[in-house]
Amino acid sequence: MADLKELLKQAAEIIKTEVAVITRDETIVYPEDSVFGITYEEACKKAGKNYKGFNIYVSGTGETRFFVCVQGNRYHESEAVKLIMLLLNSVLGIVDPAGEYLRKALEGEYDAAVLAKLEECLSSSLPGYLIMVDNYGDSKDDVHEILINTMDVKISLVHENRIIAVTAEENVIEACSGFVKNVLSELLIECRIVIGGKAEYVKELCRLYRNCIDALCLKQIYNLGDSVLNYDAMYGYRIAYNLDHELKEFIRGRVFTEEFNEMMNGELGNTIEEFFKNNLNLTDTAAKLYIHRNTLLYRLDKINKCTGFDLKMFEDSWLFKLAWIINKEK
Amino acid sequence: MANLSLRHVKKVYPGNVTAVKDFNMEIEHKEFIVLVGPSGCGKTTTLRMIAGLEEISEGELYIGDKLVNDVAPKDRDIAMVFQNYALYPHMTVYENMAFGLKLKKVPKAEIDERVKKAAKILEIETLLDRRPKALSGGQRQRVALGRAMVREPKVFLMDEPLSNLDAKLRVQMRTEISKLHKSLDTTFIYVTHDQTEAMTMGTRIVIMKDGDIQQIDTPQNAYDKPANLFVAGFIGSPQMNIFKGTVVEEGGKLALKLTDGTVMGLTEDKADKLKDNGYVNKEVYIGIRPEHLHEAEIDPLTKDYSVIKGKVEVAELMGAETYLHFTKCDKQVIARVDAKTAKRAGDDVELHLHWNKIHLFDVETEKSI
Repeated sequence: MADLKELLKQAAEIIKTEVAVITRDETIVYPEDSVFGITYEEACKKAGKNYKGFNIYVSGTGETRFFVCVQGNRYHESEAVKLIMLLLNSVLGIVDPAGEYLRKALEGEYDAAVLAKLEECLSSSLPGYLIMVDNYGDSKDDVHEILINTMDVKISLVHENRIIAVTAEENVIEACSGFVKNVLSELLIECRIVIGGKAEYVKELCRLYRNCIDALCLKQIYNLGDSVLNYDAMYGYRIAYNLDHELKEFIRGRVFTEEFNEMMNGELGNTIEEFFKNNLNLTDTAAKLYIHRNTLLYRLDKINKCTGFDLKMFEDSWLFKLAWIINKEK
Repeated sequence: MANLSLRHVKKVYPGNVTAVKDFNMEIEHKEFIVLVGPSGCGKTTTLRMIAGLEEISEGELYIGDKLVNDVAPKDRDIAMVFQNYALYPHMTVYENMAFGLKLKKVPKAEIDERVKKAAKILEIETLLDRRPKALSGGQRQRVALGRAMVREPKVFLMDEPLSNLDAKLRVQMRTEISKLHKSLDTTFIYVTHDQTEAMTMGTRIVIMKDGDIQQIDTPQNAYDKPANLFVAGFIGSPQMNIFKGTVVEEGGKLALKLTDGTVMGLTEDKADKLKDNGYVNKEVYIGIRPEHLHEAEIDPLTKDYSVIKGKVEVAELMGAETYLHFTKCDKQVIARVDAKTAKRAGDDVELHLHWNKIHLFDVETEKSI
């Protein structure tokens, strides 16, 4: 422990930044006698990156505090050195080794030896959901800060103007939704977040990354307004996209008659969208649209009379939904 | 000081869908403006254009003296409270409120001062150490408000902030937001579909429909002098009873004749207006607020009134008053009468209506006469 303390002291002098190391038993290793007003658990929550057992909260530069959480109370000298190296790299912005490994894993071009190395370095971040934050304007750092404070982020990096992260959140959809709302409230930015899926092993990360990209493409093609995109829940769009062109035209022509297109120009389009969003639930849809349940029934009846599809019936609704998706295709 | 000026503001979405047609309005510093209307009327789009979340297709938007059409949302000195908000689950109330300021690198002492000041106004000082999980819905909503307050914005924008709360809490929070407005030196712009919220909170309300402004006025004026048939029907609960009638001249005096033969008198002012504008022998819409129908047996009028008769179909006891439902000229009518009424379903009822409480609208333009 004495080695770690000494190294941290020297590191703090070099980086001119206050560094707090908090151990599981909440003994603050360094700086001694400091009052950070934060528990081990809280510090771990804030700490977005995990590298070989160290949770490091890296936030901006300058006078910002760095919380380094260590899981045990005894560390070998070699581990202390690794920690200090990681800390210095992070602060000086040279390389984030964990982030670099994640980048390599996302690219997917590696041989067995590299994969073994990646597994060794990233295993502590898995299992977890791969998420991607898109459209954050010029506020990358602030958005990242909100991300790591909203959910349990194990590792993250900026890749091709997007923040990619692995999160251990169990309820990932709710956490992502909270994140988007927080970004909107704090920064007035309407960012998007994509959930690529859950990875158990490093070799899955590349596929999940492609899922994220595909989800963004589908969003573009079908003009989806959702700010949280869950690739696994986008079956409908994936099926529609892969349908044969002639079949698409047939389905489109079956539902979108001239008469129906005319009707659609009013509030009916919005009604249909909400009805699907609310899982065909009449009460919830009516509440969302601020209309009476009977008004909703009247509108659905109008659609039925015009198209022959009763959206309250499962058989009719899924086919109509497919046609609805196809019609939105750009 | 934050006055706002919206000059010929228009929003057209791809596909030539016009969401907001020609929005013109001057908003004074410290006003509480409520944008109200049915869904799809363009109220949220207008608010989002003010926030900068939606690009303005045409027109100009000034906040203070600055043209902000091309200014990023974060640089407009505004704060927005949404219907759906989230708090940081692992942070205390204090940290939740302070977080935005930390991002902006506001000095610690100032953050502390602002958070405590906001907490005091919102009466959540005792909750500062709690985490969101330990808060009730109303308390969480206050924290969300506090998070916006600590920024000390020039303009507060609120998009249906109470819609997710249950009815009782909504009423309570309505009062809280009104109090908050009084205690802050800030302009409020509030969007709601609920006319009761609009009436109770706004210093002025903007009633919208299909992307058009229908009327900008004080709540009382919008209620007493609706600009058109839409406003007349939208503002007021239960809503105004509307009939079609003809302006007739009987014995040298103008009157209104309903399709079932009922005749209603007119005040001299109204009669002159109808005559001058050529409405004699023409159809008009007649609007009568439910509370202006007085039950003859218990609350009779003494002069300048007409009698409306009907058979009660439903009597709704509301406690402080009773709603009598009946059919007149094939229209459902509601009379809001004194709770002392003994009238029940099946009874004949005679109601008095003062002439100066009659609203008239042109049949073609639907504008108030």
